[in-house]
Amino acid sequence: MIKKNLIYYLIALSFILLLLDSFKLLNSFKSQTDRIIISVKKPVYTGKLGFSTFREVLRQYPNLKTLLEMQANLKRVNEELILKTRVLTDENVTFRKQLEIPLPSSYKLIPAQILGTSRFLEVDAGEKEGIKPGMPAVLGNVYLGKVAAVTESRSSIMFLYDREMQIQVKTSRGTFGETSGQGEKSIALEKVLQKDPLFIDDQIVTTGLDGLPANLLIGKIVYINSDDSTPYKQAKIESFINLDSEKMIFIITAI
Amino acid sequence: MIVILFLLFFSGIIIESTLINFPLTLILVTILTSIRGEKIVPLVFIIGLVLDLFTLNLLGSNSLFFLLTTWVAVRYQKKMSSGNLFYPLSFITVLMTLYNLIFYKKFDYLSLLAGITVTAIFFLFLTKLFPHIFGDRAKLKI
Repeated sequence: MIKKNLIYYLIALSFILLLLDSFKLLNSFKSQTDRIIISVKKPVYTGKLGFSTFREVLRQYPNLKTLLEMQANLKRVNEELILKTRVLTDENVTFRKQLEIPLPSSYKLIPAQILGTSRFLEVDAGEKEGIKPGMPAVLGNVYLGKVAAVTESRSSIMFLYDREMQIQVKTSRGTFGETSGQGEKSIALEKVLQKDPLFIDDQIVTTGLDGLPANLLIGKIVYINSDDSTPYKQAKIESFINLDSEKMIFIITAI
Repeated sequence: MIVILFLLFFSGIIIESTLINFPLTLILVTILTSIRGEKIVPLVFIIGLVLDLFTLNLLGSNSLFFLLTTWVAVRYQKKMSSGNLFYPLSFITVLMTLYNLIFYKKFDYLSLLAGITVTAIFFLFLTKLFPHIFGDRAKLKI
């Protein structure tokens, strides 16, 4: 009897679990599994980065002879630079401690290692590190997106170009608008008044009006659709997000 | 057999949750339930839960979707495993569209095309390579 109706029981069980998790009643269980999941995902993602490097080596194989000559020259230059570097390293350590990344020193940045990318970017920092849903994630001064879900040791970050993401932005000329994620690394700039100036290659940054830190880089304009019959101009933004060889990002927990 | 199935699903989950923005696990579930029917229902439930944990989705959401997929697949199992690829491919097209809209919030022709291709390849690969598990011979045990 149970075997015959097993599928119905399991559907009901899934539904119950879904309800319980909606009310965050399963968080403690999910936190218990984080350690195992992180230990599985971390090496896989690192392996993926290694594979990307290997692919690049294969791509460069025909230029090997030229590269070897260049390497000899670079070795000589390198010797000279090593000396210079020693002096600069000491200086740099002090600056890095103070600045970390080019953002105001009042920001509290939590470093988080990338565990994987699918629709969301998953990182190995969670509630334990003080991360909460909605917090912005950055790489350098490029805005990546906001924290969508958090467990004790993991967080998922909704990318800026996700269809559920909308933020207020301004261009390098001071024109205000709103971004709307289009998925697949594409972002639309909307609600730009017809009278406001908008040009190709204008940089887009956050305004700081919607709770996000101001002046975080979003991308640059690559296409403008200015149909005079509509009240607003529209544009397409090319995102500055590039995580191809990145292992670490930062989450801003306090502004 | 259970080891092969588990490894297959687990690889799918890791790839989907870590490397690609593509419902690979759904494709595996659809193919295997089309062929094996209700026998792998508990496995489908567990796989759904594991995928939820790996992708930080609400616990139960993927398993619910997969179980409903299984429920439909079981009802049309004769057609699905008839050897005619049209039925499983049509089924996966509808499922992927729904799944992409619900879980990935996107409607992507390329992803759909890739899904159909992967399904066809998997179907042929699994039934040829493991006929005793996935092929027609698996059903001739009477």
